[in-house]
Amino acid sequence: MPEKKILSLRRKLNILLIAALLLLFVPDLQAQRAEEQSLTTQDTAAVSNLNNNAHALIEKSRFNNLVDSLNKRKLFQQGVSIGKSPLDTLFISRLKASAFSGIKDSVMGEFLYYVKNNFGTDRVKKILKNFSMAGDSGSLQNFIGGKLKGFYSVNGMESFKIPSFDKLLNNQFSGVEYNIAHDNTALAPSPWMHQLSVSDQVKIMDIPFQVSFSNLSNEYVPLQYNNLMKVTFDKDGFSQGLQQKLGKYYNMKKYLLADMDMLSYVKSHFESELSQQVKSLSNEVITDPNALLQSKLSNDELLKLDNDQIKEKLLSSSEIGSIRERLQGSQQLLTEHGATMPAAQKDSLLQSMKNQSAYLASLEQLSDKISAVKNKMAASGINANQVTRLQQHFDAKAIENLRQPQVIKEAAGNLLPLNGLQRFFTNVGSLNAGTFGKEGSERGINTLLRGGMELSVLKKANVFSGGLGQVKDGGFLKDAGLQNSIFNSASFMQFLQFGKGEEGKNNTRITVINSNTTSPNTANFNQLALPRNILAGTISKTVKVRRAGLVEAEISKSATQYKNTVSPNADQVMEAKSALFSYTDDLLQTLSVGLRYMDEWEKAGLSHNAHVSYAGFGYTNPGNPSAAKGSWQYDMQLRKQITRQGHIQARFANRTYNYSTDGQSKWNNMQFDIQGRYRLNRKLSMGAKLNQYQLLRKTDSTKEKMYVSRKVTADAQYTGRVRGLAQRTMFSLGWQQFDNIAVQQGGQSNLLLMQWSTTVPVGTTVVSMNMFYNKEIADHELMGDLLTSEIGAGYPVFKTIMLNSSLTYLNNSIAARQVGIRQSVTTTALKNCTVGLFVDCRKNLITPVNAYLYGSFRGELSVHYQIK
Amino acid sequence: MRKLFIIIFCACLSASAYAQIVVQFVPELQGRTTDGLQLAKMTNVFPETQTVSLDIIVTEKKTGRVVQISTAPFTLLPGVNSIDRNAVSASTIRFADNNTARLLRQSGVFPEGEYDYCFQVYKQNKTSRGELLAEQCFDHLVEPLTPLFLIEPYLKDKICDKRPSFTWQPSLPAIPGLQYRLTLAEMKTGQVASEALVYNLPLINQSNILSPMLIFPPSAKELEEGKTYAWQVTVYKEGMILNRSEIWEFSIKCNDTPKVEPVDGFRDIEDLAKGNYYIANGSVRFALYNAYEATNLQYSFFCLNKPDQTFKHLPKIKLKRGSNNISIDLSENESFIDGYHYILTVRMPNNTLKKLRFLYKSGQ
Repeated sequence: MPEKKILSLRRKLNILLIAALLLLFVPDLQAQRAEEQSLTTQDTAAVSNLNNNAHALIEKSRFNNLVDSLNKRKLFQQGVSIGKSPLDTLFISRLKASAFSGIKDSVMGEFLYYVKNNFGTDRVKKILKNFSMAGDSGSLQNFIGGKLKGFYSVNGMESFKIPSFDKLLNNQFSGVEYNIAHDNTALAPSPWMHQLSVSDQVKIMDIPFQVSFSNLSNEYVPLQYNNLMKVTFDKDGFSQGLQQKLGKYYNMKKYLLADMDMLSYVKSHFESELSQQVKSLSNEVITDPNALLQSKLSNDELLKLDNDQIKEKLLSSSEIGSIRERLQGSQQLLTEHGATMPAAQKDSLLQSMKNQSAYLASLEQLSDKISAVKNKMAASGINANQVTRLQQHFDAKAIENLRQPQVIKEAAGNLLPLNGLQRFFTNVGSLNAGTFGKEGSERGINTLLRGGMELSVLKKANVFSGGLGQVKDGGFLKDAGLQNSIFNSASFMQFLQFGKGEEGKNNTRITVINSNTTSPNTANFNQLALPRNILAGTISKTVKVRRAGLVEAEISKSATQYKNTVSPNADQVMEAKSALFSYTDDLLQTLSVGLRYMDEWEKAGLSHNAHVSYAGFGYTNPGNPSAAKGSWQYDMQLRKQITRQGHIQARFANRTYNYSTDGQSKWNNMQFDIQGRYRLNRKLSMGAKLNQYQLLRKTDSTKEKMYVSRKVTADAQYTGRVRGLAQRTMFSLGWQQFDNIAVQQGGQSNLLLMQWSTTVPVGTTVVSMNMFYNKEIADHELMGDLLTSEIGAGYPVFKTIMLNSSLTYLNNSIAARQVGIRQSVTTTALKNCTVGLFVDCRKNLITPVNAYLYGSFRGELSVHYQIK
Repeated sequence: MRKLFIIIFCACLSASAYAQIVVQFVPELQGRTTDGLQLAKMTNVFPETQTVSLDIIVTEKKTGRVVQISTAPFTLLPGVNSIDRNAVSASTIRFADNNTARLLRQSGVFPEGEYDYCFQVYKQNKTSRGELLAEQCFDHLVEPLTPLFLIEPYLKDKICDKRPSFTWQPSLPAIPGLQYRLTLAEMKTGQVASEALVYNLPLINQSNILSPMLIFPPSAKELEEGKTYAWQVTVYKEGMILNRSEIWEFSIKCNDTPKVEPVDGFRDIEDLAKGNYYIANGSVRFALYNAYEATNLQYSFFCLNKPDQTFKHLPKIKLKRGSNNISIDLSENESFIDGYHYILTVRMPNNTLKKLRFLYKSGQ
């Protein structure tokens, strides 16, 4: 009993620990939305430095522009009157209550006609009713506003009856390819191989699906065992189709309200304001101040020049000086000769002085008024330069937006009469059926599924995906001759994933993978597995840091439950057959966690990727057979761009694998790799690489080196003329050592490596020479001294046939010596058909020792018929 | 080593030769996982068919009993038989209450230990188990295999070598007769690496490799520039897959592939200087006529986006008498920034100046 209590207590503790881990992620999940909103706001804020008033003015101007344009436009010469139906009445009343109330009745009629024709009376009625019943006036306004923007941007009359799809079913055959290869190398798993592959595109209601079929077989595997087919939803193709359709029926620039000339609007606003202000200055001296202003300054100048510049233009300092001089002269004349001056002359002089003073004062007032208007606009954040910049920004943004999948999706939903299926597919991220591969995170799905299906949907930043399929380790053509496996049990797997946020941005994913082992039994591959249920739950969290950085954290827990398990202390079979009931067992041994930080410092040309992870020995992810178990590892990659010419990259990984019950026996695996490349000039570039890899067997008291591999290479690539001949040469020199200590004899190799390749174009012929040589310098010759060389030429015949002929020579000091010819032919026939033939024939000058490495014939024939 | 293994194996068999049912079990392969235990074979020496049930009891030297698997009844025909898959499916499993058993239950893999595998074959009567027909035990020191890591070409690497060598970490502990198979296939558009290996014809599918290295097979077709390839190594013995590496991909891409220069790339400088819009993709190209003696071209640059920019290391351009096609390579010069506007001033042989405004594109 006490033992049971301890067990129960341990289980509770495990539950508490998992709950705590989950709680760590939950607040993040809630915070996600807020973060995304904040990001959006930041983006918007970056639009310009204009303050809110200016933005409001621009927005208002955009809507005013829309209403003005609509009121001026008449698409139906005979006009469309508004009906008396409840829908018409309701719709129009809602429209009049919106920001677009200024629209004329005749335009409203056309608008209603557009909406009913394209989106259906019943659907519109339903939407309006739903919004009205829910009291959601905001959504109703958005709906009407969106449709109105669509109506505003129609291309012509054909936009009033847009079809949901062009064809119910459309098949576009893409191509077919047949390959056959023969290799006479001894013990080759498949001496003869055939492949027939067909690719096709099927569109159902304009939703495109790519269909790929491949049949691979050899002389041992009958055709029917290797039929592979994959059907994939072509997301990009669907988006492009919607974009084309939108472009056909709508002017998308208008839809995004990016067609307005904001500067003109600001100009007219400024002119009308200024005209009103200046009119009040009319007096005897300046009867028409507006005319005076126009004569001195253009509207552009008034808008763009600053106050001092305007003042100078209105009344230049020299002109003021001359008027003041004249006034001073008149004053002096009056003072000196006023008493003796005739009354008429004196009056005239006084009048002239008064006029000149008034003129000066009026111009001063005019200048002040202009300054006041400009200051008022500036206080609202409007000036011509800013508006010009904003216009440029909006134009660039509109072009960018037109390419954004999110914008296309939103516009398609708003402007095109999509049916339910099409609307659903606008939210589909991926859909695969048949035999397909998944590449997810280490603790997610990362395997090939057979006879399966997978669907991923993204809606309003919520992600949902799910799938199922068979996982089988062998049975493909590449596995010919391998009949069974203990690497990974075959299983039938199902998974569900849900989360928030898009890939590459802040996101959270929760994945549940469930699998039941199976025992496949086919002619060429069979596996036996004890029936068991494996369950793995994974929470992944990605946080965007800085501009280009990502922090990814992942935690996963697995559980395995064998069917028909008998309790150690009893004879009856336990009832629980699902791993769900034992999910909290053996927590640390079935846990896998990982943390990764990737970032890029663009200015410094530096990028890095650092990763640390832990996995218990019992962790089993049915979605990823290669997922680490019993491991503790950390690794890092650094890359530095050195000017435009070169880069240096370093990688380091240290992985420790525990494989004993007490955790004392471990494999330790360490890898270090550094490489750099520098382009000295346009003709010459050089590179170097160092790679070291070692494996140790470790216990608490001992450390035993099991395998070491080192490789150092340096290479140069030269493209330029040598003695007047254009050529391209690659040369590399290296040293490679590996020591497989576990193998008593012949586990060591010490090689000097040399490689040289030159290509010389001579007219239409390209002459090429290649040589690879390795010299074994270890005591025991494992690889032997090996020389492979080839000299040949590529040349066209009859314009459509490209031939490549070469002579080959191979000499391995301990294994083989061969001389041969290599011939390839490529030709295009019947416009769309490409035929390729490759033959490599060799004559053995001595009998090869390792015949499985030195075949004397390989031939490949490929026929590819491509439609598009 | 291989001979030694065969001798030990034969000894195992001969030890039980007295029995009418002989179990063939290779602990160093099949004794690594719970599923592997089911791959044992049984030879029924009786002249007639036997209905039997099988108990597999695994004990670890230090820990004690680890697991006991009892199959459902199944039929043994005279000769060599596999364990019936339906009997495996209906097996009952009893894990012991110790750490080794817990790890085995979760992972299906035996952790390190000295194990004793005992196979007990019982005659199965209609309703109950009958007599013990045979019992055979096998000892083995299990050391789990290292993960199979690929070394080179590195994951997502871009290499220029079209006949690269492949290296990977050997599978340890060493098992006599263990071999590697390397598979390489082209990745086509829209395919992920795992699909490429099963959908496409393998370009290399080399088996029987003994060392953790493969020099590109001499008779294989070389890899093509611009294409991406997926590769994987499998460890196997006697047709049984023991381990697999991850699938890695790499591309063939030479850094210094010469750029194809447009054939009609030289327009008269007089024409360009009239203000025609000109985009310089890595180099400025124009034609000019020199009626005088051969000399060096005198020219200078001015950056409109960065007026204080100085230009160093400008190439010397020789001007011959008559028509000249001039190409000033700017791609190596760091003063030229993608997307910036520049003015090239050329002092013509007759001492007149021609100004050519252009937008620089790095072309990379």
